[in-house]
Amino acid sequence: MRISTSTIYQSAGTRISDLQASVNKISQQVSSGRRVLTPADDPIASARALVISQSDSLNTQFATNRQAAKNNLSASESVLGNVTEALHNIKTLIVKAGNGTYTDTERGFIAQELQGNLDQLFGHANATDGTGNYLFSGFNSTTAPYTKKAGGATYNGDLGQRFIQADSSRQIPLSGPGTEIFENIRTAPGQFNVQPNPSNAGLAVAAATINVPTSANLTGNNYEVAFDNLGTSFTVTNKTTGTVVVPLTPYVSGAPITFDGIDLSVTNAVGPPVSAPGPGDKYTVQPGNQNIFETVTDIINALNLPAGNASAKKELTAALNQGNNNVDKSLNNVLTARAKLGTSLKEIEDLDSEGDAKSVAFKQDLSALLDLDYAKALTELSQQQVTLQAAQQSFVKTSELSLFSYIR
Amino acid sequence: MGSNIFGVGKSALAAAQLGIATAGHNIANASTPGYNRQSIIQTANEPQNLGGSFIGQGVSVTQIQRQYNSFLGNQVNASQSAKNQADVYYNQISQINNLVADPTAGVTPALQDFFKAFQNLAASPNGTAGAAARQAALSSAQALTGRLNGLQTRLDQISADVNGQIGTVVGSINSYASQLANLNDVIEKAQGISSNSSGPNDLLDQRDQLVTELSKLTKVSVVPQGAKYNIFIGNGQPLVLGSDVTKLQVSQSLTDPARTQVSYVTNGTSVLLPESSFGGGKLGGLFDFRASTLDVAQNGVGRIAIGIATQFNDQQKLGLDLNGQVGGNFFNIAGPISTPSALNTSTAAISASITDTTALTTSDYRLQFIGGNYKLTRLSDGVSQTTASLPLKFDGINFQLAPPPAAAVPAAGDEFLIRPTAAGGSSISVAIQDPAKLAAAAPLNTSFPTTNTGTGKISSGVANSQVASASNSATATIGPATADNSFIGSTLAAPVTLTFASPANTLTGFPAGATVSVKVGAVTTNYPPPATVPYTSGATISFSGISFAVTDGAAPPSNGETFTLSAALPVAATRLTYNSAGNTLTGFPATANVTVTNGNTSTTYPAGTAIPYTAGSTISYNGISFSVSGSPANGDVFNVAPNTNGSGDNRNAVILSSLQTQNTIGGKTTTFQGGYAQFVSLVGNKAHELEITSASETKLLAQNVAAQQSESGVNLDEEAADLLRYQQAYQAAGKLMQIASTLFDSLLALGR
Repeated sequence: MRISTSTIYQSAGTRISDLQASVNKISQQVSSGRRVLTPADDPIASARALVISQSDSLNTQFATNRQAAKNNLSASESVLGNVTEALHNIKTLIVKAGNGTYTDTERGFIAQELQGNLDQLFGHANATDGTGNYLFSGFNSTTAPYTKKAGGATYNGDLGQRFIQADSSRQIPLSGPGTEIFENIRTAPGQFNVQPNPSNAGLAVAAATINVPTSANLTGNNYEVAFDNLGTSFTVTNKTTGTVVVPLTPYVSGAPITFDGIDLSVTNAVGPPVSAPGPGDKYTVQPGNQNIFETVTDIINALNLPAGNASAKKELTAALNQGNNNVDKSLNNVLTARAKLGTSLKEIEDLDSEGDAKSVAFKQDLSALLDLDYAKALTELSQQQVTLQAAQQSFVKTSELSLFSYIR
Repeated sequence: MGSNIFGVGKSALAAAQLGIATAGHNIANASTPGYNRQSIIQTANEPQNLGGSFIGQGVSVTQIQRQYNSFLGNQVNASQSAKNQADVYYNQISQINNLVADPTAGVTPALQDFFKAFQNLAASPNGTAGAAARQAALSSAQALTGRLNGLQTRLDQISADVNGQIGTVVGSINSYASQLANLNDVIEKAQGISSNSSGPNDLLDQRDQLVTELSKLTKVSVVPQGAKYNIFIGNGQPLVLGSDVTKLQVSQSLTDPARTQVSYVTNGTSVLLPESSFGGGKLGGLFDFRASTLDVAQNGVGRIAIGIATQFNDQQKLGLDLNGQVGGNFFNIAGPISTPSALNTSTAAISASITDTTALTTSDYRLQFIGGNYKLTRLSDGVSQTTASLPLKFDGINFQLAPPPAAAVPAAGDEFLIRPTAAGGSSISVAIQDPAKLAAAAPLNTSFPTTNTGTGKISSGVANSQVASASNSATATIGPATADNSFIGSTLAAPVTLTFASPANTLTGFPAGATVSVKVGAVTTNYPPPATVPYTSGATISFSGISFAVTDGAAPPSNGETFTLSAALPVAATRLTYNSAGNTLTGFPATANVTVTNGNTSTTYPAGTAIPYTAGSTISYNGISFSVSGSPANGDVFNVAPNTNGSGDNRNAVILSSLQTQNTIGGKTTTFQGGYAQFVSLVGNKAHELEITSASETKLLAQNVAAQQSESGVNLDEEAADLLRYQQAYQAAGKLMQIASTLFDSLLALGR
């Protein structure tokens, strides 16, 4: 085939520049350590790498989230540990207070000690996490969950529970609302716990329900229904505040009276023997659902009352029994909450190790997609260099060949 | 006798001289572009008849021929066109390819940081850590919008650059066209005076070279006519006819002033040439790049921006910020760009709005008014839909006529270009400056009092629509109202009350100026304002981005009964009471139509009805929903209230951050990041394809050039041999002259 001189030069030039381009590309790959320099080098791998890098980044973020959850849960767990201990102390003190040989003064000491424990509990309930947010006030985390009031404490938080994304398909609850831990002590199956005084002479039965239209007036306080010496009229006293809410009212069996959002009725026992309330009979009305602060305050109040006569002693024993039961229930609540925390912490640990494994897998995937096989690249580089040298030398040799060199 | 020898010698000397001159010309032009090797054609002179024997009369050069093969020339031109097209396309797309190349730069890390910041916000929505998390969320959102803006700006620059290059190329085409017309003239004249049939070789070379240069710019076809070339470009647009030139010029697109197109001038008016008519060369490459990559890339970036902005804004509006206010827009984003054609005869305008960001494509749309119908065409694949009236919903976009003062109805033949996503990437910005305005909390709070005696529990609840629906009908119900992405809160600044009229069987009371669409089965009917809409039980009624259905209950609605749509937030305080006798919940707002969803079954109850209780089922009304589970006791109460102090509430932040992994783009097939990956993969694949095409076209061109050069190119060794050949011929002819002279001398010596 006939070859024109310009073709010789042109094709040599093209070949050499092609080779230089590929040497340049490989050295770029070698110096950056990446096989895929632009999406065009491997469009599928680059698109996949973007998606995997998102999964990787999410995985890292979930680990951060889990750390945050762990901090919060551990803080709650240690607080609840202290709460458990305080409840055990309270239980011991209650049992101790039941000792019949104790004098009023000695019971007063126990009441003092119980007050200390109550203050401790109160502090625990208002505990904060590392960043100053209250652990047990639900979504309302900048407000202290409990404030003291006569007869116990009020909850200021809400029932919200924060969840945190601990893994792509798993949300882990952070702190629970304080109501689940410190409240929810059910003292009776109904809306109110109505108990006759153990020394009552009559057999009349008292019952209380919420008066729906005035339910906003509910106080959560303890009340006492006390009959006069004839058993024909009664008063209702708010025992927590000491105020009389219903002045002396004639007794009509089964007729409800309404006060502070409560419908209360006292009914003669159905015979035989039909029995009306006896003179001086008393009934206590407590909310059917107490918090631990109310329970402990009730016990302290009971211990502070003189228990000189038999009926007072009976009342004290009843109050201590009820208090003991309530503390047991509260302990159950706290232990349930701790069990939940423990389960969550365990789950976080499991998710952590799963996340670590995933992270390694993602990194490997990314590396396999984008990174350079150095051995292969370097071999290729030296091969290309040899070819380039050969091309350059052969061009110099070929271009020297000219008939004109021989024309003298 | 002697004179004959002299004659022969002289002719041989002349021929050899011409041979040397031609070889010299070849050597001189060995590296001239477009030069074709020339060679002399020698012929023996007509012999002299000398009594029956013919005596040779020497030699003459009949022709200096250029070695040109038009078939090979055309092949070279065609592959020049193809190669330059691929090269230009590749050069342009490489800019985008390099732009999105680095996985550690670009949009990806910004997108990931953005969502990370929201996850951190969900972990600590308030307090000192919360303040930092909120600021970080804002900053990372600004970083994300910055990246998207930057990417879009770069694409805009490339677009401006393409416009500039089109101008330059058109200038060069015009210049070549004039030169070709001139050469046509000169060659015709030269050919006319020359008896030599081969013509003016070097001028012909120049003309062929110009055609080759023109081929680099666009696809060229040459039709020779006598000595002249007629040149056609693209799909047969005449550029040079003999010595006449049709000049091209750069003009604006009819529907987009920022888009350069090419037109030609005839009789003083310019006629636009379709972009697709330039099938090669730089011009073809530029148009191809713009239509198939640049537009799609810009729209792709815009679609991600619009998706993120709209989804976030909508969720933000269902939450509460740190100040307890309902969240506002988190991002600013521009809507679709709609431009009427410059040739439209009416002043009608189309206003397009995005109703569903998940259904958006990366295409632009053309809306034409033909024969009384609106024809909407998706430009990427030509799929079209025809309707007699607007609004028309297509691909998540609502196309409707702009309100007056624009003419209400377009004129026949009017055309509009709608670019739904083009402005997304450049317009996205963060709308809030105050970190406290991030709506991390949910707008409602649920609770139950400690006096409850049953085990019933109420879930935290979520807000799921910005629109609440209510009715005072005792029989018919209005289902949950949904707000799409085009819904604007101010529409319901005052509640919209629809009144049912009987026996007319219609609904009236829609807002002034709102066109109402009613979808019965698959048929959508539009009612222009002021709308009186015939009532069909269960039909989907939509206006101003709100959709709902009114359904017969025990009976159709009665005359005068109303259906009300109002803003869902703030949530009304509600106290639900459980009644064991009927196993029902009561206490819902008086006009609320409560929908109970259990598994896949939803039932909507007329306002004021007691709602049967099913543990765990979802109860929705007025745009909020929650569930009650467990076994409540008679009289147990569940409260739903506005969230007043839930600064530690992270419910909305969790939903916002979960948008990262939800399939929210491309018909709910992929995530934001997936959408970006699609864009990168589109660019990468195309760049890769063009890299290969460009390389193979270059190879093909090299082969064609080599084949052409093999026939027409100068080989210096060959010329050296020719030089020697003609030199020796010259020397031999000289010797002949010497011998003739000697012969003559001998003759003269005879007389001495």
